[in-house]
Amino acid sequence: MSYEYTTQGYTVTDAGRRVVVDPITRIEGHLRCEVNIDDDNVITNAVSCGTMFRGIEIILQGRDPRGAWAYAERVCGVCTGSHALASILAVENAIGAKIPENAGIIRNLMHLCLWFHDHLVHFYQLTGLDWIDVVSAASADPAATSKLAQSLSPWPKSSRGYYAELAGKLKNIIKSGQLGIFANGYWGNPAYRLSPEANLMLFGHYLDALDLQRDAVKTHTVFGGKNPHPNWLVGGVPCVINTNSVGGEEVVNMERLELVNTVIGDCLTFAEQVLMPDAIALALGYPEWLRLGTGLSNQTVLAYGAFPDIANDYSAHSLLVPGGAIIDGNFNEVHPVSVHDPEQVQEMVEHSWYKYPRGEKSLPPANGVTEPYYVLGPETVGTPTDIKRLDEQGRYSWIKTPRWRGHTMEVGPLARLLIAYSLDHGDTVARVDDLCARIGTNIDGLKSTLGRIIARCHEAFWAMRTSKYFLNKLLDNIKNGNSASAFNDKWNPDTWPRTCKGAGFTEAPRGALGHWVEIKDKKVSRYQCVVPTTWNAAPRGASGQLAPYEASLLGTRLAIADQPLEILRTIHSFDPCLACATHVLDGAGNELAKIKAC
Amino acid sequence: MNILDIKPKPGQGVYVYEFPVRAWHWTIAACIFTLFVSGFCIAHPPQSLTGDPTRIFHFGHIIMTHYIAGMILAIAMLCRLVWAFFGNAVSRQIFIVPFWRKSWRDGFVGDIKWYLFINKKPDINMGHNPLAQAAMFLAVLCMFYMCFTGLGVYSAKGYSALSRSFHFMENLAYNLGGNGIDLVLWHRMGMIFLVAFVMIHVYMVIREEIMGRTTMISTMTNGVRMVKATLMQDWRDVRAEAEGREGQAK
Amino acid sequence: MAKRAFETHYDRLRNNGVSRRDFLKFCSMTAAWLGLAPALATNIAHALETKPRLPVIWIEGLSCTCCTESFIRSSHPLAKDIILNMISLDYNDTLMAAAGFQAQDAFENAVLANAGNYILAVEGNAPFGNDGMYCIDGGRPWLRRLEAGAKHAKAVVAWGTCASWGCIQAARPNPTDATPIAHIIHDKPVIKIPGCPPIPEVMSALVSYVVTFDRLPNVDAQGRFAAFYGQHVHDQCVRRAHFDAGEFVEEWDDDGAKKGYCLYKMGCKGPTTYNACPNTRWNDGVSYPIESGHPCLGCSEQDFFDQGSFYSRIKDIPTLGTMATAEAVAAGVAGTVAVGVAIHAATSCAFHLHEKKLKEQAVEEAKIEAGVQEENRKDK
Repeated sequence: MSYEYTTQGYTVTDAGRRVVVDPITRIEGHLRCEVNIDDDNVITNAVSCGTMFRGIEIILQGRDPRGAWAYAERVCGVCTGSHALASILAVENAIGAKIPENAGIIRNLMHLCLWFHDHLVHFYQLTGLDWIDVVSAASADPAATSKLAQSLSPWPKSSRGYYAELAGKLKNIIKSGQLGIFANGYWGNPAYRLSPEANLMLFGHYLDALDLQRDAVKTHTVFGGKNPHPNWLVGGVPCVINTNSVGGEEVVNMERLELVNTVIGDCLTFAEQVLMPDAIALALGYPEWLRLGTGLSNQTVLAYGAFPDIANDYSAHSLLVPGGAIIDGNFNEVHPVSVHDPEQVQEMVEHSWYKYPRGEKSLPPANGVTEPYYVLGPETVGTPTDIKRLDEQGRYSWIKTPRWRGHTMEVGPLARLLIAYSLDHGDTVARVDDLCARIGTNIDGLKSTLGRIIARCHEAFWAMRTSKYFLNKLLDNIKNGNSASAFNDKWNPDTWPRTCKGAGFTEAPRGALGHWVEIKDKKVSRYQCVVPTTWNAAPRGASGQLAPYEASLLGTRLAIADQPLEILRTIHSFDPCLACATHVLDGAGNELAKIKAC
Repeated sequence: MNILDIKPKPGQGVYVYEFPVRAWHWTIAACIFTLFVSGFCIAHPPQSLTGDPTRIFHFGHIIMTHYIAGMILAIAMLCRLVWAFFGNAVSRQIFIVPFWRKSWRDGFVGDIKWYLFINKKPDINMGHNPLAQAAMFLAVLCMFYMCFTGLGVYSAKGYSALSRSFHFMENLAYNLGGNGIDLVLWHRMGMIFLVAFVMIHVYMVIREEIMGRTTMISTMTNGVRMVKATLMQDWRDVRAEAEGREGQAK
Repeated sequence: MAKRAFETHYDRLRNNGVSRRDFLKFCSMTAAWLGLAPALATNIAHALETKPRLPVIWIEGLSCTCCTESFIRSSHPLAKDIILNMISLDYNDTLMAAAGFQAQDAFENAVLANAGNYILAVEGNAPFGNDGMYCIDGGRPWLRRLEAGAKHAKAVVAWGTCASWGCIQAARPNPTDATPIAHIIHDKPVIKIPGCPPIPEVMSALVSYVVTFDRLPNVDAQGRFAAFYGQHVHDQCVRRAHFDAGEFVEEWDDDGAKKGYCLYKMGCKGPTTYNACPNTRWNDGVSYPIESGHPCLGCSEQDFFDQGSFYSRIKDIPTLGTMATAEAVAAGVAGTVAVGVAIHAATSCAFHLHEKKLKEQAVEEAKIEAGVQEENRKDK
């Protein structure tokens, strides 16, 4: 049964050939994507299906709230730490714990480190191969590559010899026949438009980034003990600062702080000399992608905000990354957003493999009730354990459909940038205008597939600059004799109210992240997360309203129908994180009590 | 004649606990007390010290105490098991509970009635009374269990011959879906049983010493179980005696 | 897939501009690092000179991708050297260029071309709930891919605690019936590298061991890589001296914490956790959790999410429908017994005194009676 309808300015029809991409690789988790293409290979319908479910929120029930972060952190190993941060913020909010100023700074440093790391790995390792033709790079002229690289940036690893060696290395891999991770790629697809020299340069940076990302996370290791999955603490941070007395060699001391300083410096240099020039080079090489893949980024975007400059103050004037919501494409008005308001964020399950027992249309996460309900639509081709084609008119994903006041929203670095730009926050406008000028577009050009990627790189650069700011602040505090890193007054569960609720929010690298917790008798009685990829990768709403992934794929033309390169580019531009997105809310279903404000 | 079948007259005694049994009893009593205290300290370390760890070995000593006491306990239990083959009938009582004998079961019920104040008069036993025998049997099982779990924790991933022979305890924990910390938990749960046993044991012994018809505490020191003469003689016997005399007189 | 050209590691290294001298240095360092006799360095050199790259197929079930993330953090050897020079990573969801059916083809090609020779590296585990459709891969249960991959594998590597033990998704109540790999695959050797995630260099050490010696490493009774899981974290810990001294952190950021005292009282699971953290350390030897002030969570252990609070050494005991700590149970039992003993003792006293009274009365009566009889006799 074929259908056609219009929503959010897009026409959706499932006529035409169906192309299935499963698995979508170079993401976190499991995602399936199906599109319909017309005779001209233009996408007319897109279906995004989250294909894993783990039930971490059910598992969290009955646990010690002080350790909830460790469970929540295992939601995702790529944006490692962001769930832990949201979790401790929610628990602190519930039990009324405060943190020392240094703990706030260290948390910001760790979270900024994650932002940089995640954006870096995303640009090179996850989406890089969508834009860089590795096979073409092998035929590049090293001298020309060196010249190109040096014209773009002072990055020292750009000699002719370096690129000659690199091209040789690539040639050998291709010659050996053991292509490894490059096997079966879309090499030679006409959508790859960069010159062999640009490809070689970017591939060199791909390897440089693979080296650098090891070092980039050392901030996590110093303060949190390891990465992935560093350690956090309710009421502060676990690491202790001792720069000038006995025992300092075993905790955070001057050597450790200098290590962090060096790491931040290296990352900043890389962001300045490699990442940003590469992003700009990509924009210059693929100008049409500054128009494609707009999706909902010119209509509805959302951010909660992050990085409180003042510890314990999560209000707008303290946050370095502002929150807000833009709806109906009106960028002149930014609506305030609160995770504590049950009217704002709600989730629907119309097209998800979950059901609400009383058949509610949507529920706020703090009152969420869900149980897995794996039923395929009647038009599905295949069997329940061998799906050939999904029926998007029925239930078709393990992801729920979140709404902000009834709107599907795009979240992520681009959303954050657009909101900060609209709010005229700090130096954002100047920074973004400068960036736009360098890639020959305006703010509207950023509302696109490549815009998302460039916003992400820009943010990575910002993250390292801001890390410097916070590290200096930390050193100032230590200089002034303030080295407290944790408060114990709310550590003992006997100091908590018998029942309490809280919400914590931050910005994960991929976008707005909120956790909701309810504590009863010193145990977690309810836990929910609404995570960035749930917003972006959600299935349709009841009226067929599209979520960002599906909307952004529409209208893109595939160069070769069987090679989903363009689909990958746009999906990757959101940096999907499916382990995050496919979770389930608990089944307690109690009445919503008023959540106290931060 | 089996020592358990001797029915001494009031005021007479029988040598029931041989020296190895007594030595074993007081050794493990001391060990268990030490293990309780040191074990509690290991679970809940005393207030933190401060100073040069090169010279302080405070907590290490506590743990070492626990290990040594545990080793002595394990060896004592092993020796006791061996002694059961050489000792008298009483020495075997704690390893074999003759629940299949009606006389034993009757005695068991009688003991319960005595402790519930239904029977006014306890039976006289030269060895352990049946209820005590059952409790001792469980306690001995628990003691072996504590030795195995304790040695399991102690020897986990140690590579001496002794350690390797107890690796199966940790593998058991893994095969049951847990890990090494489960062994610690099992060890603790055994401790809970032992705490309850020791409390009841000490209480019962004192109570029997006062209210029962045979000696208890002195028996474990000199080995002789006396049937009390007149001091604790039941008033019913006195009356019966008196009545008997009365009858004679008539 | 293209025809296999027989290119060895040594060729590759030479092609990449590594001199023979550097190559031999690399071999002896590898030997030292694996704890082998220096003479074995020549074996390593010989192995790398004569063998093609080891094919590795890396699949990912229910997981959080932290294992892949950890793997690319490896410093020695560098992740890029492993991927480009030591192994042929023929399938990996997170790094591979291809997607969709091209990715599935890559998988099938790799399995066919290397049947019996490749290592299947498994990250995450398989749900059995909902017919396996809690984790869908190519429209089918991911379990099918695991089975297909394992069928022709030389050996299976279970990366991380998910694949080894079950980890977060298998924590109580295990909503998806997530099942670790060793419970699914019985006909192939399964080597466990537990940890959430495992230490990067331990992961790469396994890879280089297999590449170098062309055999599987020793494993312990639980199937773990013996060289890295043979000791408790506690026994290697930098803070161990403070433990033995009885110097503990009593609360966060206190004086003891500032001096780097032992975190035992804060719930450290180091004494029951097998891992190499204190020696190998994380992220190029920078630190490990205890060194950075947080107690060990025990993340490389089976069932570590279900051991009660992370901030208590005392595990929970499941009681009637709820959980209680062993401590609460002990206090409850001891309290109940104490109360029982007290009540019984009081009753016994009352009983005893009553009996004594009756006895005294009887003695008295008997005396009187005896006296009466005596008098009677005298009278007679």
